[in-house]
Amino acid sequence: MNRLVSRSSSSLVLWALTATAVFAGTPSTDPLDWPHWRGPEMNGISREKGLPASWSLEGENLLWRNTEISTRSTPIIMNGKVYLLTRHNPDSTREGEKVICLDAATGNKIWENAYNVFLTDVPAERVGWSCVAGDVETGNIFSLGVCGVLMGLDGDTGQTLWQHSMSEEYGMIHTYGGRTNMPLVFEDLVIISGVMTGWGEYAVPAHRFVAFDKRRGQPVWITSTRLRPMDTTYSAPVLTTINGQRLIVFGSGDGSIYALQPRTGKVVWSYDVSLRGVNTTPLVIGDTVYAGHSEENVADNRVMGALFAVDASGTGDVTKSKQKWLQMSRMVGRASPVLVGDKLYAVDDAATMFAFNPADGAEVGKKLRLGREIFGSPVFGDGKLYIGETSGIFYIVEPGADGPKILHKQRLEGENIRASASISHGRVYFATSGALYCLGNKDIQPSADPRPAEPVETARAADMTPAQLQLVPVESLLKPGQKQKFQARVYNANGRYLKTVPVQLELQGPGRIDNNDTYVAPGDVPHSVATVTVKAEGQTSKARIRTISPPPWKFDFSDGKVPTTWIGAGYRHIVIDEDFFTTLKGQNERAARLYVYCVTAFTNGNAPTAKFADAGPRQAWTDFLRYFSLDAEGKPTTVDEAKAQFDAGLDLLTKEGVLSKWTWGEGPGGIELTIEKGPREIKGNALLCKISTIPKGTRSQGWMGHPIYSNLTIQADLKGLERNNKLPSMGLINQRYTLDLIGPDQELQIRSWTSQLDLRFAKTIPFAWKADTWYSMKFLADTKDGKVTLRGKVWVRGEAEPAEWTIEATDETPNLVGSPGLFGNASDAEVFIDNVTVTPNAG
Amino acid sequence: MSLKSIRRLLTASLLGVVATAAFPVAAQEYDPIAAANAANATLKNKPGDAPQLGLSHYRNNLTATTLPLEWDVKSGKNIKFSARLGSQTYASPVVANGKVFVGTNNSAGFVKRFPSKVDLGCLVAYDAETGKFLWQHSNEKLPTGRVNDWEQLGICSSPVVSGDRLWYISNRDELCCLDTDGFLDGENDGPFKEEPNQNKDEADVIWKLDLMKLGASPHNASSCSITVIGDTLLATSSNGVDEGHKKVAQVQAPVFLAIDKNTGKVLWSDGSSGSNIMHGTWSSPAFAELGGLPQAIFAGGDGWLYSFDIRGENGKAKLLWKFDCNPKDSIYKLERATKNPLIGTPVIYDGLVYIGVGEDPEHGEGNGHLWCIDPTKTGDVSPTLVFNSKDPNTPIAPKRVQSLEKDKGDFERDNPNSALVWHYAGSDTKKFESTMHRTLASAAIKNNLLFIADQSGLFHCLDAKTGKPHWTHDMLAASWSTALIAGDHVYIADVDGEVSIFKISAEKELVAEVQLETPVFTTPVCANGMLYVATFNTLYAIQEGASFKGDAATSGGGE
Repeated sequence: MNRLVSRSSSSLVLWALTATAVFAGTPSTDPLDWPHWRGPEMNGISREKGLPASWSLEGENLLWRNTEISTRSTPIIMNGKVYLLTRHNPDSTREGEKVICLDAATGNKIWENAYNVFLTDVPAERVGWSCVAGDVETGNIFSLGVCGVLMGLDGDTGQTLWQHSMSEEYGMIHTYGGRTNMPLVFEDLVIISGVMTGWGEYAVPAHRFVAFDKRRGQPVWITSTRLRPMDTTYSAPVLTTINGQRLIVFGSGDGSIYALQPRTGKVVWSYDVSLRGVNTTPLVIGDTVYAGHSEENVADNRVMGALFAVDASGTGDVTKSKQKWLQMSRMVGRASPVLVGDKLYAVDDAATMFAFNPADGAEVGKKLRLGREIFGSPVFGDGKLYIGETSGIFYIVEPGADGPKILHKQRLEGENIRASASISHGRVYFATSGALYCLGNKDIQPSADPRPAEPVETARAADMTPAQLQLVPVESLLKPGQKQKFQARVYNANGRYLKTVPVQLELQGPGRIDNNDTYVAPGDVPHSVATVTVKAEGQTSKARIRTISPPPWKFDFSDGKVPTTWIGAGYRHIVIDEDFFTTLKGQNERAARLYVYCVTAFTNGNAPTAKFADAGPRQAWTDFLRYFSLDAEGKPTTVDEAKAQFDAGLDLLTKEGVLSKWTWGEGPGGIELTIEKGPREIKGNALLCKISTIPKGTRSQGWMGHPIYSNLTIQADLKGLERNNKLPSMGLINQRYTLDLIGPDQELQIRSWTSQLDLRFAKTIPFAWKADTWYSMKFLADTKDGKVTLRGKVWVRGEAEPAEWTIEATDETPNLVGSPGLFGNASDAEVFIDNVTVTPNAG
Repeated sequence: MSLKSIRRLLTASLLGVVATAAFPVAAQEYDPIAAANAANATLKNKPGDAPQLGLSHYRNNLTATTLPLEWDVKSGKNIKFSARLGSQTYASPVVANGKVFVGTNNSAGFVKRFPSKVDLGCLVAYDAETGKFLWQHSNEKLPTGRVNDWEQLGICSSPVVSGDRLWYISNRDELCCLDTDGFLDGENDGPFKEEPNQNKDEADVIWKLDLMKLGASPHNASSCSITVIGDTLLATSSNGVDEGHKKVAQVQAPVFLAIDKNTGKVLWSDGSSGSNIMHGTWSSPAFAELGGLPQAIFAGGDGWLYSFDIRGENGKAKLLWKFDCNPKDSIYKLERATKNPLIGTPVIYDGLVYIGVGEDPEHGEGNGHLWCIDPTKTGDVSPTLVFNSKDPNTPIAPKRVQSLEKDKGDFERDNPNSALVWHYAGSDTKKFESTMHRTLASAAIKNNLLFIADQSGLFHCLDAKTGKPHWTHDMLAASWSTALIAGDHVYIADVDGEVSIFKISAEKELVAEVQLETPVFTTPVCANGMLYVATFNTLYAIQEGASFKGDAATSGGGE
């Protein structure tokens, strides 16, 4: 990928599609290593002794300070090396993100693996949000960058072993907020998560977990939490054993705490606590999970924030059955708590540290004000808590019998601290927006108390009954004719691996099965999807396959469907009949809009009936009225008034077969409208419509193919509608660049990193365009001499294509590969898309 | 503008003050409470009311009343009542004619047709003596989502009240004129008659003006607190950047508006901040008769302070002066910016105008600037002007990201027409604890002592006439609030839910720190002898000698 390729052309960048194992790195057996951002026990506790109680910028106990680092990433330490994510070439045209490896003793750089930040709003200052995870078995490093670049790296050399572009392959969302989750290594897996809007059943957004084989990068299992979460979150999963069962516990974007089996992804229990996403990383002590949040409570939505304890031994929805205590009004939304002695220490978002009785959550002793804001979590070692406050104060705190007391306070002028400390070999490390610090007494010989024994997982032999079947890889993206061999793994109810069984694949979709266990992708279909199913040991498991040929491609949507192989397109687009829409518009404008609304409801509801009612928080009737600008002025207050507004249009749609019937009613929330799908199919010209009715997805991007393409031309016809005198924006994606026809500003723009237009790379020109007019748009990416030149053309469809390019720009720090795709911002009005073609560049 | 040139100007302007003796004598006599009372006299409210943000259109939040120095929300000591708000409250209470009005979200679920899990912007009216819920104006969330109307933020605008009318801006960026009696007077006053019902617990809308239909695109929140002068309302449209944060979503939109309070007709509007709005327009206008002119003073999202003649000219805005509140070489970035928008509301005290720069706290902390401006000049009255070497005698237009780009040949010269009286960036800007940081607050000024909290929770006391720093106190908690001066004390609330009380003195004297248990993002106000504080989810009325039965922090009683 991009720079790494140009930097070390010998390093094969494997996109994990067919990668064979590259086993590298040095195993770590050192008990003083810190391979996970919350420490080896994932609880913020170090057993080391001789840690510093004070330090100074002038040199006392300051072993080194590396000012190349500017990050929010908490370092990990393994095999004498420090690893973290950080900004790369900050505030320059070459800015990106990198994983960096430093000598733990000196702070000197050993290697770095840098890459571009692309197709994201994330501000440069939030680059390096996540933390890398170290694998003690292989010595390898795993990282998830702010724009979804997931990499497995050789811990010794930084060489990329495999990588995935989580946005282009899985539709992982990266927002302005920058929240990026942390990978977790468990046995043969590296597990990551984020809100994803992918393809097929995964097109609807959810906070999803994907476990990859850590050596080969193959996806092993995928688990979704509740659909349509409110937020992206960064509560990192922690590993534990409860009642002999291995679990990972995390806070989700849907506001619940979940426990999953790490080998299978099976949800064991969930605890619903917050109306918004949970960002704190849970602390597990014994059988109890402690965590906090700072949003509205499910238990009382008038009160924000809570610190809570859940008995982790339950199954299913344990919201009511397994809650130990819930202390509301505690705004513990970012920092993970830590248990020291018999007290639980938590820091609220406003940087006040409290001590609690872990048995009942009662506050004990005096609180300690640390400042204004906290992002990082406290870390405990050698009788001291280490924590940084955002405005740049690093504290060493004594837990104290009557409450926490400051032992040492160091202000770092001009630096922000949003990471947690790490402890390894007598050294305390912490990163800021300006440096990475290493504190410690150079004369101390590192030593540590032994770690407490971990709870033991129930022996495999205790239960040899097959209860779960796993078909691997669970997702594949193939080329025509490519073969994918599958493996079926059997687990017991506790999630313990039992055996691998012979595979007898059943195929749904094109392609064929070879040798019972191998799928062979079709050779003649440019874009296809298939499902393979295996049945064994009384269990069933399935895996999904997309097969995409190298371009040329053409999409005209005449089958009435959003192309199934596209990522991030299904939920946000529908296919409509343009001729029918135009006819309706001429007869009855509202009927035309009802047509779009009803097709959206049937498509995204995945049911032949849709009901718009205000009973319940979703307020579907109000949503419906909003779409027609009738939610305030002119709002119908009776069924008769509603009929007066809509019956003419509904009648027309029923006559035309879009609906089979509609029914008015009154329920607890007032007026209710139920519609039923009619038999009508698309008869005229089919087009793709980017809908304007999903607030979190009206501005979005989607992708069509493998993330490894280069030197392609994408062309499409695009039309923007207009509402309240406002136009949408619409455009094409090629090789991780966007060509955007911006409605409100009447501009045409080429960009890659949306929030770094000024510094990193972009070109913008004035370009007047109108609503309700089809434009043809062409976007070419040309890679030459280590640079990429982007060329775009826009002209009124039907007119002669202009000979000259409308806009051109050359990126000297280029994206060398990427999937073609679409961009659209339909917040203000719909975008129509038709006749999409992708072709290799001529010559 | 370099620090050196700020210092030079500062010295020059201080000398200027002394040399012309324009203010010292008057300063001793200026009574900000009398000025506010006189300004509010035409509003048809009770004399002790606090009918708008910052008491009057001078926006100086103070009272002569002596208020309690202690209270206890747990025992009820000195608590007159507590009343439920939603789960998030960003609008400061206003009090008029026996009612308290607070903007919040719908988590309290006061109105039956909207269960508490329905996200709304709610303006809630309570009885000012008992905290009893009276009625609620419910505003549905904008369909365009968080870019225009962030989840759960509720109403961020404090209304202005005159008699039986109030005006505020909803989360939908609609300027709403409501009947303060709701439907409790048994009438549906118009012209707006399309209320969904006439239930006693719902709002009677008189008229509405949709500022988005005028072209505006609020960023995340609409938050202007209107002021009224005669028949004219002053408001902003909350216009801001798009979701990508790199450009203003609707460049042509009106931003600063004068509107007929009876009809909602736009009298004039101005969009000078145009494409230079850095983030949003979240400040509120002030007004004063200054230098013989009726000045409508607006703080822009572009970091400029603008003054217009409130009368306009032929239906158009008439600019009197404008002042750039950022050093010219400062840079706007999403985080760690040195250039900042204006969010706090300008304050007028004894003929001078005070404003500090701020930023959405989501974008981190940063250094700020507090300015004192002489409002009697015209044109560009910024401390310096920027030129370009290609045409070294013509000032160049301001730029959104950085007004002075050295590498493009830009340079600055002192402005002979500068209206700078003083500038304060802290007593030692090398140190966090003695730096003036970004602020969301306005100054509160009495006896020539200016008090202002910054977002980083430092509370500053300065000489209002010279800008000389007297003292700074670190509250060790972020603060969004403007101070309240009450009698001989000044009250400042913070995000930890604590109210710090100091003596009005050039020497720091911390008298008390009182807990409210829940974070405070609003400004405490005093009306008719009562202290009103809206925490995130509870409205407290605090009065010496009062005793609330039960736990006021959790009961949310008063009904």
